[in-house]
This record gives sequence, C-alpha cells and structure tokens, in this order.
Amino acid sequence: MLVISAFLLANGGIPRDLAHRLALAITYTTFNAVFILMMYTGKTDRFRAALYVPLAPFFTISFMGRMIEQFHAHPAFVDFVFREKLPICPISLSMTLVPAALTRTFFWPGMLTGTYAAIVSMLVIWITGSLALGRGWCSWGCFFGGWDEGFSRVLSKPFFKAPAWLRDLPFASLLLFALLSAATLFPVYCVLFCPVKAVTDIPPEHFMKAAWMWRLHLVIFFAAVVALPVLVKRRAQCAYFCPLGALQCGVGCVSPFEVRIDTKACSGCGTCIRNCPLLAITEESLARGSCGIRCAKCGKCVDNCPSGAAHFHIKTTEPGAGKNIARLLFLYPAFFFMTAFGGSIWMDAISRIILLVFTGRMF
Amino acid sequence: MALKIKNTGYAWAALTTPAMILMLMYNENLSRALISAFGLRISPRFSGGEIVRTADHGRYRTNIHRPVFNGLTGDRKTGFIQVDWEPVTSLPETIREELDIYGNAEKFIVILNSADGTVSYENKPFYVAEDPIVSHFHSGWAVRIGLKKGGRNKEEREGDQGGLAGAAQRNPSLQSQKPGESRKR
Repeated sequence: MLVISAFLLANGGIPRDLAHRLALAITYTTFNAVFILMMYTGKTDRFRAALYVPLAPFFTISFMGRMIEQFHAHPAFVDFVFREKLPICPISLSMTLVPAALTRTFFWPGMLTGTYAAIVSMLVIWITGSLALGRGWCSWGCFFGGWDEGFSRVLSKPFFKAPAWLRDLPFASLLLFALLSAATLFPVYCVLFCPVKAVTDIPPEHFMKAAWMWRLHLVIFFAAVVALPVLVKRRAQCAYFCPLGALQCGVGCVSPFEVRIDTKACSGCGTCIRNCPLLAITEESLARGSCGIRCAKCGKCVDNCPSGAAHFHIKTTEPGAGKNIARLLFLYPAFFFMTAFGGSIWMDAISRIILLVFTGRMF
Repeated sequence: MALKIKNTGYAWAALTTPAMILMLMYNENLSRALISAFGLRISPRFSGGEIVRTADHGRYRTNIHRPVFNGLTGDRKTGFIQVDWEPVTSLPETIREELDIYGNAEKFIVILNSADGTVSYENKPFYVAEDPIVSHFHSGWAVRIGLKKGGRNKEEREGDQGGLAGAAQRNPSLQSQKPGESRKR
C-alpha cells in the first residue's frame, strides 16, 4: 500500500515546486495514516469519511482552479456547446451512454483522451471502478458525494423521516434524463439540474441566462445537498436524485463485493436501517440478510452493528464466512481507487491552498 | 462444485486490486484502444463539424465548417454551420464573410462586430435562423448559424453539388472525423 500509493499519487515523478511537493507529502501521509488506522481498528466508515468528505470541497477548489487556468477570461460554461476540452464528470457520462451506443459519438464538448477528465479516460475509470466496486463507486470515488455526506453528519438525529418511496426516484431520474438527453442530443441533467454545478461554475456578469441558471443550480444545491441531508440525516442527493447512483445500482451486480447481514447473529435492533445513508437497508432486506442493490459499501452499518452481524462479503461464498478476508479484499481496490482518483484532487487543492496562503494566488 | 464456485468468487475479488492498479497506470493506453476498437468520436454537434474551407485574409483567417445536421439516427431538420475567425489580436472591428451553404448561388453575408460580438446578416436566406450563437475564445471568435434543412425542396437537395454542404458530400473523409480525432483550435 505504501509503495503503490506513492506511485499512484506521484504519478511517476516528484513535483518540482515546493507547493506541490508539500501537497504530495500531506496527501500521502494522510491517506496512508487513515489506511493504517482502518486496518488497525477494524473500522471502515469513519476513516473513509475522513478522506471522502473533504474530497468534495477540494474538488471544487481544484476544478475551479483548472477551469480558470484553461479558459482564462471565461471561467464559466457560458457557451457550453463550444467548449472542446470540457472535462466530463461520471454523472454526465451516464447521460451520454445511450447516444454513444447508438452512434459511437459522444455528445459532450470534450476530448476523447489526453486531457484532464477526458471522456474515454473517464469511461475506462468508470467501467473498471464499477466492475470492481459496483455502487461502492458512490462512497469511495465520487467527488460530489462528500457534500451530502458531510451535511448528513451535522445533526445527531434526523429532523424528519423522508418517505420510503423516494428511494426509487433515482431510477426514474436516470430513465428520464437518459431519454431526454438522447432525444435532445444534449446532457440535460448536467446543464440544467445538476446541483453541484452551483459549486463548479461561475456566472459571468455579461451573460444573464447563465447567471439565472447558476442561481437555479444554487437553489437546487442548497435544497438537495445542504438542507435535505441535514434534515433527514441521509445522503439525500445521492439517495433520492442522482441518476449515476441508479446506474451504479444496476452495474453493481457484477461486482464481487457486497455487504450482508448474518441473520443468525442479527438481534433485529434496526441500527443498520437507521444509519444507512443511502436507505439501502429495509426491514424486508434485513430479513433476507441482504443490503440490496442500493448499498454503496460505505461500511457504516458494519461499523455500527452492535452484534457484528453486518459484514463485507464476497458473492458466491457462504454468508458469514471469511468476514475479514472479504473486508481486506474489498478495502484494497477501494482504497487504491480512492487514492488515485481522490488523492490527485486532494493534492491539487492543497497545493492551490498553499499557493493562496503564501503568494495570494491559486495558480 | 460448491468449492469451485466459492473459489471463483475469491479469485474475482482478488483480481479487482491488480485490475484497478493496471487501469490507473495504463488508463491512456486503454482509452486509445477503446477508441480505435469502437471508432468512438465526438459528435459534430459539439465539435462543430470538420473544417471544409479556410479563407486567408492576410491579417486573419476564417475557418468554415461543414453544415451539421447529425441526429441520433439520421439527419435532423435543423442544424448549424460554424464559422471561426482567428487570431483574435488581428481581427478588424467589423468582419464580413460571404457564405454559400448549398452552392445554389443563394449567398449571404455574415457580419461580426468583434468588439461586442454582435452578428448580423446581409441577404439572409429563409433557411438561416435569426439568432446565431456567438462565442469568444482567446484564439478568436466563433459563430454558429442555425440552419433549416426542410426549407429546401427535394430537387434542390439532390442538386446540391457545390457550396459548403457539397464540399462535405464530395469529400467523404469530411463526413466524419477519424476515431480519436478532434478539431484543433
């Protein structure tokens, strides 16, 4: 882990300037310290969250910095259709898959490969991440989910309970936006409804339409990513709206890992149901000893289960058998994924913060 | 049999770690392999279509792209043609460019004010939409002029041999980009 994480973070070489070196040292130390603690204590979620929650604000800092560097006077996506090097995010990728399958073309103003978050490079990451982790992508790789998760941890108890039928909304969202995007040949969700655009976009003064759009994104962001997660104490945007989350539920079937509940050991206290941030566990699934397809393998139920019934599990093996091996076999790919995918974002953001503190500029 | 299935699960689980590391290390190579295997490319609706003509005006040049009507399964009734002017530092305040989309002598002039980005037309044919999309890059200006395809009758469409649409028809290599290629700006 120590060697491979160094290789993945340094990307084959030590950075030349001091800010990037410092950022590399901080990221490397933090990630490996967290991994060692994860191994030593046997707890998963609390340490994962320590890396995962800061990933979201760090992504905003890193992404905005890169965009301002790249587009200079026009940091915002005013003229979305003209941008040729626009990075693609995995959520948008889910909107482009149907047209890509039909026409072998991507409806996105980016590059196929060779640039930051290029379309096919992201597709390769998504395919591998999904095959290995399934919906674990949402808890170990997604650079937006940290917002929800952070806000969902603010209150100690939920203010109100959200209706259970909302759990199915992401599937409707995926179907609706995939079809709309295919019909309009435009990534509709990304441009119009994605709440995280509020923190990855700057409205220019001279373009009123974009400014209004940004205000709309800001309202959606505060409603779905700030207020709802605080009030219901769940990752509301991920659990109720995210179309990629729904897609991950489907592709997660090919992942060898899952979280199961040992029905013999389970005391039926319901702690896992109350704690699951994505509403994956219900009374029915608990009776079956399964977390269902919505499980993002964050490990919160495993950490909190008072009778130790919840555990990581490898499909095709007996429930309850080899709990520690299953956890280890899952943690390694999940952690490498987080280190390479999230670690680079951590480093870039930290180096920009260091530059800001010492030079007054972020790039 | 049960043991074999159990071992398959462990093997698949154990393989995810090297698979993840290899993917992260060879992402670029894997991406290129995927692009060439499936012939993936960026939709012309976003790349703007291939450049079919470049006019050199001395101080600046104009790139005219092929008209784009590409839809999901065939051509759409509406599309656009993109015109770029560069470099931005040498552009005159008023730029006039004559366009002949279908080569049927229905020429019209697009006029760009490079100071404020406003666009107007002279002799605008009926198949040209009123409001173009204008964008300012650090390399220059780009304008997408909306076009209607259904405006022309069948004989006219079949008779299209010249013009910018004809240029794309005459040169099949311009109909689609090569896999992995993207327009350079």
